[in-house]
Amino acid sequence: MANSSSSRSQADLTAELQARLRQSGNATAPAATPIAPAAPARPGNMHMNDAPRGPSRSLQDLVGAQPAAGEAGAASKIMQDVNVPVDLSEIDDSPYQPRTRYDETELLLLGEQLRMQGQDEPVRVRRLTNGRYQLISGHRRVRAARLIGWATIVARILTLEDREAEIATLTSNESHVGLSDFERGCAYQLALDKGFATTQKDVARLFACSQGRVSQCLSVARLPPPLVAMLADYPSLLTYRHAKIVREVLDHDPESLPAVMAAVETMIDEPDLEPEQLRVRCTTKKVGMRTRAKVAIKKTVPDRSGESVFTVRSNNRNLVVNFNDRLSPEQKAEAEKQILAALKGVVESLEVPDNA
Amino acid sequence: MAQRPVVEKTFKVQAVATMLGISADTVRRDSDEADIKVQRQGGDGPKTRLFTIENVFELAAHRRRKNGLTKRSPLIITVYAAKGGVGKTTSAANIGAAFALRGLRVLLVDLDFQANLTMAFGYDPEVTQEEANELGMDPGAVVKYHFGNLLPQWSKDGSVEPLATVIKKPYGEHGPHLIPSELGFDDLEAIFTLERLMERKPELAIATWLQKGLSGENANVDLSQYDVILFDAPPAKNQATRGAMLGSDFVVTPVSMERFSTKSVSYLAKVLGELQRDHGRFPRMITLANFYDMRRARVAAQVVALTTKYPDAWLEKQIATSEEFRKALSDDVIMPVILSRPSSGPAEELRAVANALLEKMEAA
Repeated sequence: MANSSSSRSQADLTAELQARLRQSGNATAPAATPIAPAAPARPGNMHMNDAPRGPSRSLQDLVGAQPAAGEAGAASKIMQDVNVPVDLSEIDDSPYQPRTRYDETELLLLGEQLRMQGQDEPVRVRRLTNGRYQLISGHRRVRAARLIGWATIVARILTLEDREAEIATLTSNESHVGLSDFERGCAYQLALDKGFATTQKDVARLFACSQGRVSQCLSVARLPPPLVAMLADYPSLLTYRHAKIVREVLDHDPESLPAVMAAVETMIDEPDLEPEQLRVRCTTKKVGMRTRAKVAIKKTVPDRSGESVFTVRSNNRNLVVNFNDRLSPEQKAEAEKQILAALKGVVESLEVPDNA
Repeated sequence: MAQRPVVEKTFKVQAVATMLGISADTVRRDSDEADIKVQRQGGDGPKTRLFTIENVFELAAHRRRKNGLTKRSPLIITVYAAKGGVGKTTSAANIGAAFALRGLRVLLVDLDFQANLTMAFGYDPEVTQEEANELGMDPGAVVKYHFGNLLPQWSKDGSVEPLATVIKKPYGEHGPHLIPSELGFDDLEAIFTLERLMERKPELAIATWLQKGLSGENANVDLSQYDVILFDAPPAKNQATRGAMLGSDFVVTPVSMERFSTKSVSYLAKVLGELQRDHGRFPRMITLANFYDMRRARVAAQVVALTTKYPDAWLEKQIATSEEFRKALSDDVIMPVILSRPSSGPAEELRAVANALLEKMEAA
């Protein structure tokens, strides 16, 4: 009989499987999906996963819609877009996301809002071939959810190709909340470079803004490279009105670039400098020896990898700050110092009734 | 072909009436009407009718025809619990038997190599053909094949065994049918793993088998004759289990009302979420409380937790703690308690559970 069951020994089975594996030319093992760390158990309030809701496909749809063998990957095409809870540890940032900095205070506020009101709208993600998820929109909410210690976030899973994903991420409304002119300009420039749009008018339509706004923001992103490099570190440094002044000065005297750079750099400490004051600084010769009182404390946390550098959890009387393992000991020490200094400031400003 | 261990246990009219939920008079009238060959008690006393278990299911089938129960597409169910020892197989066997007593055509599929469901119907998967011959056993009582033998993935050339050689009918044609399991079934996991490496989507193997068996595409297996197809999945979160859940309309998860039991439901919810995400199909979850004693504070706390988080899943009938299950296991004839001790407390509860389950599934 072709298929005797109980008589097949483990050794026979292994040999047969190996033969099968050799026969199939395409025995490529997909990358293992890392196992998500379990959410920490909260006493008296154990984490419970949501059961799925909504429609379920029929057997016929499920089986009938399957592509023929060998058409791997095509299956995702026919998958419905669904809202499901996804582990935050399985979500990666989009490389197409225009935002480079996240304001920690705003994230904490957003986190507080999530905690109090729950999540109104799903974030949007797409599934990558490695089994992880890539954000389309919701970069801020994902960070806020991590800050408040959530293990999962409700996500709408879209089936998008790279190009579609890139457009969707670039043009997502939420991607533009609080973006600086420079960051917007970079996004518009990218859309032009990638051919998503060919004219400024197209860009305006794509991003649902005015053509004038496109022009303004592009003027910031198109400053000379040394200035763009500085803006990459301080994206909010110059508005389009400042950029206009810089352009005028440089058009008048291209040799003045070092002076302009120095003048712009002073704005790191004086972010509220008016454009006309900037013009004065650019054209005054004595800007060379500026003195900066102290290194500006960045309000934002750089995290290119898509994870917060630390998470904060408050629980009744305890405030727990967890640093990410990827921080070097020096970075940890510095962060600790700054946090303690800030806490001291808070404590000193509080009026506590004396009960001694 | 007799596909069963010899069951010599017989049932009196009252026991049959209890099983079927009808009066003793109706049992007598209907069995005469159906011309069921029932033995009579020997000796000098009254010639009481003695029903064999086959007779009971014959009667159930007759009543189904008589009541004009119409055939619809089968309910496909997986019984699954991430936690072991919560009464999963006991529930599966009894619910399957209870459905058959209602006249439904039931196919039970044992997906656990430990073959507890197979044993619950009196089979010993370790008995070889030679031993069976020596003991003079019915050859049908020997378990040679399992569910894997019905899947094209099982053998190298894609050939499958005919359903008729694999299937067991422990209580005759009209009783529940069983696709048994035995130790070798576990190899299916290794095969599925290989299939996965070859990107052949083994998670769809069971769904495909079901679909083809229902649509008539698979000449070997006609599943459209069944009203209920019920998989008994092992507590592991393995590929066969996921595959069965993906094929199913409902997953019934017995929950023992102990600490951490809520967690096992949460694990299941997560798996179902993954199915929805990956395939757009998932079975509806039904939680069946076992060892249920509301007087205990801890049980009450678990119930509150489950009904708050998964209100739609909660089944309104439960199974209390009972010694009867253990007693039934030590009976000479092994069969689900709902059949062996029809008037016992647990049997009554199990019938109520099966009815509530059917109602809930039909309403969904």
